[in-house]
Amino acid sequence: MILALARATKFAIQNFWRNLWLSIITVFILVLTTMSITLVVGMNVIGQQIISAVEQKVDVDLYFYDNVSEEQILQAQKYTQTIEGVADVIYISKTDALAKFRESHKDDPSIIAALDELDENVLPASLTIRAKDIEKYPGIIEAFQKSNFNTLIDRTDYSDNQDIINGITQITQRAYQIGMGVSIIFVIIAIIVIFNTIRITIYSHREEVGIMKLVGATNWFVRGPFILESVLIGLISAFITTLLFGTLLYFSDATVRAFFSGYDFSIFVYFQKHLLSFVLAELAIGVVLSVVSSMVAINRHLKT
Amino acid sequence: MITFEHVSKVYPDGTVAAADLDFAIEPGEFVSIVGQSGAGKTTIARMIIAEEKPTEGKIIIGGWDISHIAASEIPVLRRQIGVVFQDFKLLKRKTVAENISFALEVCGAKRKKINKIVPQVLKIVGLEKKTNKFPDHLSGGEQQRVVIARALVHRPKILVADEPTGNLDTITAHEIIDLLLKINVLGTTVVLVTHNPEIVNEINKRVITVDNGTISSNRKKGKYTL
Repeated sequence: MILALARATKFAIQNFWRNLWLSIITVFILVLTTMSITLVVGMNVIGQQIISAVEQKVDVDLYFYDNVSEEQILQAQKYTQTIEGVADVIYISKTDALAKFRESHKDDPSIIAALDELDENVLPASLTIRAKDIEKYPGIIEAFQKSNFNTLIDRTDYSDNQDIINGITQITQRAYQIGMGVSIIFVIIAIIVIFNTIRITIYSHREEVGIMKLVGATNWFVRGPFILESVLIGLISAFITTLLFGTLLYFSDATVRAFFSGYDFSIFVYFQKHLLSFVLAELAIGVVLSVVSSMVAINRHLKT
Repeated sequence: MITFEHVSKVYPDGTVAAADLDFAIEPGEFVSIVGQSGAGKTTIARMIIAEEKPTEGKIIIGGWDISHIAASEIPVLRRQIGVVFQDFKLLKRKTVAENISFALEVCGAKRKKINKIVPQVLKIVGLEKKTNKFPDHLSGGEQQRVVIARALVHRPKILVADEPTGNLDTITAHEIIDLLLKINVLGTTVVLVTHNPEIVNEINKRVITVDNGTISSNRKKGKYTL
């Protein structure tokens, strides 16, 4: 058994080396295949990450009447924090609100001049609620509205945000469905391409397979080197794909960061964090695709 | 001993390659199977190595009925029969030595045994200086010698040679036949399939003539007659 395995390994490496051009072409096609699968699946994953980053930016503001005291607002804050699904409640006083407003409009002299004209601070105090999950907002708002604190509220921006929240939820689901659909189509095309490439490779060895059988080789002795050669091709392809994809993400990271400025998301950091699972997935795709293809292809020539 | 008992072979398209073949080849014999192209000579050789199965009748080799041999048993049979073909059938990506040692590796022979046998058979066929050449770098005669060397590594009791001189010039063809005769003298049964009258007449041993899938003559010592 060990002797047979050692011989199969020797033949596999010998075949790979002596048929270097064919091996390189097969590796190239497999790299293209795994790259396209990785790109589609990767885009899907990145899309999900970006959507969840946008989700984190969504919050609900509760604006209080002018006559509500700071003490009452702080009590309302304390209560809100106890509602299920609430991640954070931030109190923004009238003074903070004005400072924030001035800061965000500092480049607009007409607004700053208008503010200076006013004798009093017209901006209301507010609580900003952030939920743990975008789907929790309706429940949180409902719970707040049932409480006694609801009478202190002048208005909320929940109805404005509700459209955004619903929109994002819909986009998330749609993006996932489309992403999965596109991924499946790509994976099927990729499998067909690599299957045919390996089939052609083995077809070119059909005479050799016949000769091996004529001198008394068992089916497994013939299959062994081809399977191990496929494993080798799969390993090399996975390594090249990981390297190429890593390089691609490294150089595109700055552009992607700039595009999503304001959101804390770096695709290269994400890649680094998930490197091990990425490599394992690439290995699984590369090795499984090439081994299964070669098993199916070689069985056609093992009939006699 | 090889025995064909009323063996027939009909291909799915209706072509009759063998019809009621009934003959026996004794151990140590040198038998030439002759006939025109398409007469059914090669089918006989292919049935001996279980590359084809008969549609009717029995083929018994050394007491083993191989008429309905299981796929898993075919490798075992082929390791006991040496085969030589007109188109050589050498592994092009392996060297001379690797082609020969491959026949031993398939049956799990140890490296030590392989290293001992391969130079011996290369010496028998006179190719000890071409060990590391690839088949494409050898002449037709040399390639056929490699094939014979490969067929000999298992010290087979039977050697089937299907048109071994078909691709060779007259002088080289005679060298190959001399080699086959030498192997026969050492005790191996040789079944030579050929349509070359000159060679058959020169050998002057048993001749089975096949015509349209049937045996038209079977002479203990004979010449090529159609």
